[in-house]
Amino acid sequence: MTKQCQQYSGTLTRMPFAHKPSICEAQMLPLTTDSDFAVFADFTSSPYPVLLNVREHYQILSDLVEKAQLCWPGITTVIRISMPGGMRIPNNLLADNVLLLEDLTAEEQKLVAFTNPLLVIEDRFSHIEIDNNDNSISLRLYSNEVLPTDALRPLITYLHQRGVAK
Amino acid sequence: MDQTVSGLVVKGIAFTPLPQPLFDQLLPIDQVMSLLAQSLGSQVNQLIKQTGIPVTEFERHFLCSTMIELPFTTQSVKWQDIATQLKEYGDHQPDTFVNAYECASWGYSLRHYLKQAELEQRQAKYMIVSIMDANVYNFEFWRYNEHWEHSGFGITTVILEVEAPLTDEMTIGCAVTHNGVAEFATVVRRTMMKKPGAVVALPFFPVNVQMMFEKLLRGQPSLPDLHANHGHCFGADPWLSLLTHGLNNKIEQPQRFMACSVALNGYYAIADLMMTPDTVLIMNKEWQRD
Repeated sequence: MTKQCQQYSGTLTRMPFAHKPSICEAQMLPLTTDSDFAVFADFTSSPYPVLLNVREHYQILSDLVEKAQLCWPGITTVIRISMPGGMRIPNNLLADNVLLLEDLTAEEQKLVAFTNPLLVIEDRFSHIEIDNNDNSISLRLYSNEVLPTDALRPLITYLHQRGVAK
Repeated sequence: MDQTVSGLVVKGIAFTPLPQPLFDQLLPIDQVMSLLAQSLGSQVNQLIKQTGIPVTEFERHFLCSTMIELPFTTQSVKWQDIATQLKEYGDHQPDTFVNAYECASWGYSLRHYLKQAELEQRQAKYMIVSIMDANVYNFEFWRYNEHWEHSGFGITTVILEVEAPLTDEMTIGCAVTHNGVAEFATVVRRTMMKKPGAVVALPFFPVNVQMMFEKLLRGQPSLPDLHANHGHCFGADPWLSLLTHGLNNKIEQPQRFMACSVALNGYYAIADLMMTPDTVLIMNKEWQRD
């Protein structure tokens, strides 16, 4: 059986929740010793702008998962989340059909072989300069059945509303 | 319905303590991560070998952590490079890294594995998970903080066998209130009510939290808190607790335990499982750089 795949890639180009005040919360661990500060100062930082905080990032991921659930109930979803963000992850991202990983490569390969359907959400939204993220996001939808044209449209429309552009 | 035994059996637990500080002086992070990967790779092979389980039995192997995140968050180290180094020790080594659920990451990973097996309509037989927490940048916060006081660091690998179809052996969830640890204690007590004979292996916390556990667990049998010996060792605590118990008390017949972890953000994992006379228990010497 040939696996169908539709994908989308875009970049966050502005603050995602326009006209809403947003707390600047870097949510880094507290630094106390000279060595702590020296280590921190040694990290490289990216030229890309920081456009959201962890709270807003989780909100976007949670909204994407909610929309995916409506389109494909119970869909297995893997999401790249790099760091414990210092706040609780929204409940729907903790559901048993969702897995949050640092790197999706190996698990995506395994799931593509057996799991139907499968949604992969991989973003590099920057929360803090030292994460060196480029604000990109990719979606990949895999299915054993023929997918309707533009199956990812509801998720893409949502991302556009949040300032993601191709 | 109450069951008197769990279908989940511990085949082996290995723990390698890591020194504090890890090195006399900070080394380049890619070098540190490579050295840790070597120690993990050897430990995994050591444990699998002693259990006698063919390495081909392991379909997934997650490496979990609570506090190793900055090397990856800052992209100073790429997980794929570590996975490639681990592969030198075999295809059964961890190829995926999970830290989003902090100390409960091992439970969420195993839940995912069991769920996928169910979706693929096959019976999972053996499961393996490793946990690594190391203060790779020697941050003071990770050495000691007001949440859990002293930390302990180490590398852990656990092998489980699904001996009978699982019903409710894994309890995975998240607190809804802001007092996640107290809520977790009530979930543990509720879960124990359904598990006759189970002894609980809790995460290690300072005395004030231990007192809260005692109060909320209302005298349910539990293994000793080892915070004074090891500090809080993140997701490794319940496994270190079972390992210590097994080494100090010869297990002559299957015994039922509940391995419990809770994260600061309220995620929790509880595994109802059996230790048997065949459970392989490995407490390695403190790791030292060769």
